[in-house]
Amino acid sequence: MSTSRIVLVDLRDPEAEPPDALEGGVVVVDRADALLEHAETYLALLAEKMVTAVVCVAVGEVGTDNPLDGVVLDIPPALRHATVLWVGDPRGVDWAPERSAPRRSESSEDALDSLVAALRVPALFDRVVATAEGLPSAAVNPGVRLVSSAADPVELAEARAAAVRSLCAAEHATPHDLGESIRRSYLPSGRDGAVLSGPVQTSRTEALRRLDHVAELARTLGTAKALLYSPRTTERLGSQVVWAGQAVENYRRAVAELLTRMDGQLQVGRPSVEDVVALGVPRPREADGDEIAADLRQAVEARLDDGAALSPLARDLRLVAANSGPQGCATAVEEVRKRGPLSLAMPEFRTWPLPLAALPVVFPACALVALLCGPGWLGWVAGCLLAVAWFGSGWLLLARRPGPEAERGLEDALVPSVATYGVSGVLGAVAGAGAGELFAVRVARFLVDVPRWALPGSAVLVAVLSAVVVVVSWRSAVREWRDELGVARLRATVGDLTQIAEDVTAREWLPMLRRRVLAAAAAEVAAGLGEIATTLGGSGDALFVAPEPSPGGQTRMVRPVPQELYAVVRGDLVDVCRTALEIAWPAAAADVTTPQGVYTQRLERLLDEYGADVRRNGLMTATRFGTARGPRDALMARVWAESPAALAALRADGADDMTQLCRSGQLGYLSTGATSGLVRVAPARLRQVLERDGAHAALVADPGVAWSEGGEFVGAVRLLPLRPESVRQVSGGVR
Amino acid sequence: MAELVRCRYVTGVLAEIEVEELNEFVTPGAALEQRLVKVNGRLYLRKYVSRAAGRRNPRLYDLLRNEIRAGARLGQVFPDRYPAELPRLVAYNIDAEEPFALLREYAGSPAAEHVARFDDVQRRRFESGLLRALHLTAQAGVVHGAVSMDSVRWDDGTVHLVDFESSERVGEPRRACRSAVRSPEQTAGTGVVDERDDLWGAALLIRRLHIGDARQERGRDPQRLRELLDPVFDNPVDRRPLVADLLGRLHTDAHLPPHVDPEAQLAAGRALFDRACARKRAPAAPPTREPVRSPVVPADGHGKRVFHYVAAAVLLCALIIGAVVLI
Repeated sequence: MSTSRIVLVDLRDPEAEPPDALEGGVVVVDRADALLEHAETYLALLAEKMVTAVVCVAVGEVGTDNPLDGVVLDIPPALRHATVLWVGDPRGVDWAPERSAPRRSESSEDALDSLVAALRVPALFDRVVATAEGLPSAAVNPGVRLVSSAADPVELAEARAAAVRSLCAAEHATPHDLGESIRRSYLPSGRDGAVLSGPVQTSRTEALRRLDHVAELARTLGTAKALLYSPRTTERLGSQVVWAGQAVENYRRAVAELLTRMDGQLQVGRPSVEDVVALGVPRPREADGDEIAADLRQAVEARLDDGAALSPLARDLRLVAANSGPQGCATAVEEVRKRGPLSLAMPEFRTWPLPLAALPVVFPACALVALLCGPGWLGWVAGCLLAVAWFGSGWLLLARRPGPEAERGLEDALVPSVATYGVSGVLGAVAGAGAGELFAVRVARFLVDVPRWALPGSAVLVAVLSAVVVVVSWRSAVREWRDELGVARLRATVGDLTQIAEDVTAREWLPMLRRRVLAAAAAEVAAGLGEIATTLGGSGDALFVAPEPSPGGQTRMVRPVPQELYAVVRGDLVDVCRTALEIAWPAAAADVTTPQGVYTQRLERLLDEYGADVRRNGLMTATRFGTARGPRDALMARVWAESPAALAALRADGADDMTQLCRSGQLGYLSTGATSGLVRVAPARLRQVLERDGAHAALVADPGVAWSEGGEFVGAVRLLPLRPESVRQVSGGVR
Repeated sequence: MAELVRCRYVTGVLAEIEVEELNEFVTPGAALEQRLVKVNGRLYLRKYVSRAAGRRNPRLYDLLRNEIRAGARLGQVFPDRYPAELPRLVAYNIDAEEPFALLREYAGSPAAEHVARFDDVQRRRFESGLLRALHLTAQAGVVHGAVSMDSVRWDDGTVHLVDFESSERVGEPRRACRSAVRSPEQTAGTGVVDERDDLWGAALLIRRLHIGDARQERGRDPQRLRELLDPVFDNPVDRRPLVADLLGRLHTDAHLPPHVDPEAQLAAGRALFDRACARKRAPAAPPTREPVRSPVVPADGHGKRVFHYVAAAVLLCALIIGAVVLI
């Protein structure tokens, strides 16, 4: 069973905090001369059911009465079931058994610290325990050749600073209209479902019906029905025209009222939705807060994945909120108001439907007919008949002339008709008949060669021409009047008003609830992001603080922060911010406002957790927030490419140079003749990188390498057993 | 520590009040020093110019004068039901060595602390409240002159427009002053003050309230905002809409509390004064053919004048004699 968790217990420091929980593997660092003293502690540790194995790192040399006895370690019985690593000297010596003499370690770091840190990698811990068990000694001395791939603290701090700067940048790196795509999803572009009904629709129908009626009357006016029938539909044409105009105005007012109520509800919540619906618009569509929040989340996370900074994203979302919220329809209200008041003007009908210009025609026509049919009674009768016909036609047309409300009427038209058409016709008839009587002989002589049928034919022709003049005059007057009647214009206005109302209904009213939910959700997320950006800008500096350079310390070579390290830290911080923002989504779905400061507290806690995770497990292993593999793989590849020592360490065998954790004088305690143990370890992430590169296939396939899930160490640990006489088994726990 | 100070109420009455200093009070829109004080157990805000501050920056006296003028005018126009949206000046003393204005304690807190977490309803209430405050000042003929987030306070749904230190009176020549919240006319200092001058700053504030970043080009503003504010930004001051028009568009009640016109109250007296002046300046009446008669002086008026002369002479003599005797 592999160990999943390693706990470190340092018994050298009596004031050290005890571990929170003992489970999995335990690495105990102790003084070699205190093993017996701590025998009870080891007993207790090994008795813990959740402790799978104990590795005791005994540092130093036990003092005995006889310095020449060669004993360096006293092991109590409690440690019989533990793996004991004896460390004679924390710095160690560089040494290759049977190949080179020991020499001072070149590493500036404490080899013991590296060993203890490496032992916290479960894979290495398990291998060390297993290998030590196979060696014929109660204690072994470790030699290490480890290369750490941990990020340099200074570089890590710089990467953090650059990542925080990037995330809190005020300006857009790449302009992006977040709102456009979101609005496209939720706000309709067409007018589907925006059908008016109720009072508004009734008034529209009434307006159109009356306009149609007026148009029909105008068409009828040019026909005989408007002149001769009784009762006539055109009798009160003027009133019908006025009523039609009033009906259109009523419709405009209904639309204006509807839009005003809509605007009030959209802008200030007054009047109620019921009052708006009562006028004849459909109810606003229901909004699914969960769906809107989910889509918003997808859009925001896509932007974060694209590398968007938090502040511009918050600004974009504020803009989305402002643009998505109900916009009202004040412009539409204004437009409808400007169009009023509407009316259908009654054009003035020609004053003399049979124009007075026809009077010069009436007189000769009557005279001519009387002359042609005379002399005698026939001429008188024919002339008078035509005169009466002219008078009757003129009277009728004048009587049927539409006024502002109704026709003029026969009674009103009588006197003017008599004075004009009547007088003119009678005078013509008298003149024609009189001339026929006075000049009968001359006329007869003049007409002697004219065929007999020509005279009555001419008289009939004159009468027919007179009738044509009457009909054409009336029709032209009607056409002229009809052309001035603005029915088509008003019908277009009704159409425009309907379109305005339906547009507003579709654009603002129907999606009102969606708009509100979307705006509230975007505002909530924007507020959260804004708070997170502000907090990150302020508290982010506390993360990965670079160590203060010691006054006499080595000057560090300045170099740019590797892009891969920056990418890992930035990705992790984005995930931290994303986690801090988690609470915004349910709040957005439920239209709840998160109190100010909650995001700040949450982010600060998450930053603390992230920092602690990185400190405890290293950046490569701290993947609680950085879930994407790519950046860490890239960083690992970079570290591997820049560290040839790592490859050499991983390829080392038991006889190669390693830092043996003892003094050169203590090498004699080691049993070089016996079989040594070798443990090689590397992070599993490195194996994936190598597999992908394909350059080190043999290494990847080497079963001797323990590929650890976590850890930042690449290298080998050599375990040399101590001579049997150098280890003294002490029974009873007391020397 | 209580202090007895002489001041004048807004009504013009001189008084002496006991002021207990409490602590410093800071508002982001005020350049003047401010302290919270207690008078008759009630909290007031005292804006003042200390001797040291006045020496350092004499312009502070002008700011205080503006605050007092605006406050006095508002107090005269709304004597009975003073609007909650405006700061209420109670008393002042402009002639003291450290001149001051005493205002009722401000309600709420600076709006900047709240607006980031406003929901849509609160945002609309804020813009209505702000425009309503400007409607009131316009009625009084006062222009705030620096409407910004710094000069607005928020008290649980109510907007308070405070710090009238840059205020002007409608009809006076504009003072040139460069500020991001002032209209182009105000910045240039051309023409006379118009009641619509403040609309520019209010429009900027409303934009910031809704979209957060007022630097963004207006083309991306929400439609509602464009419809509301474009007439303000796109027109010179004389063609800008009135505040009442904007309130109407927002479906906000634009009625005014009972108010009086101080000018009308003084009109009769002024007319009398003008007539008297006109009579004085009128050319001498042309000589008439009637014989000139000596003006008839009322006997009692002549007597009074003689009495005054005699009394003055006696007093002068008494003073001279007294001085001679004492010396």
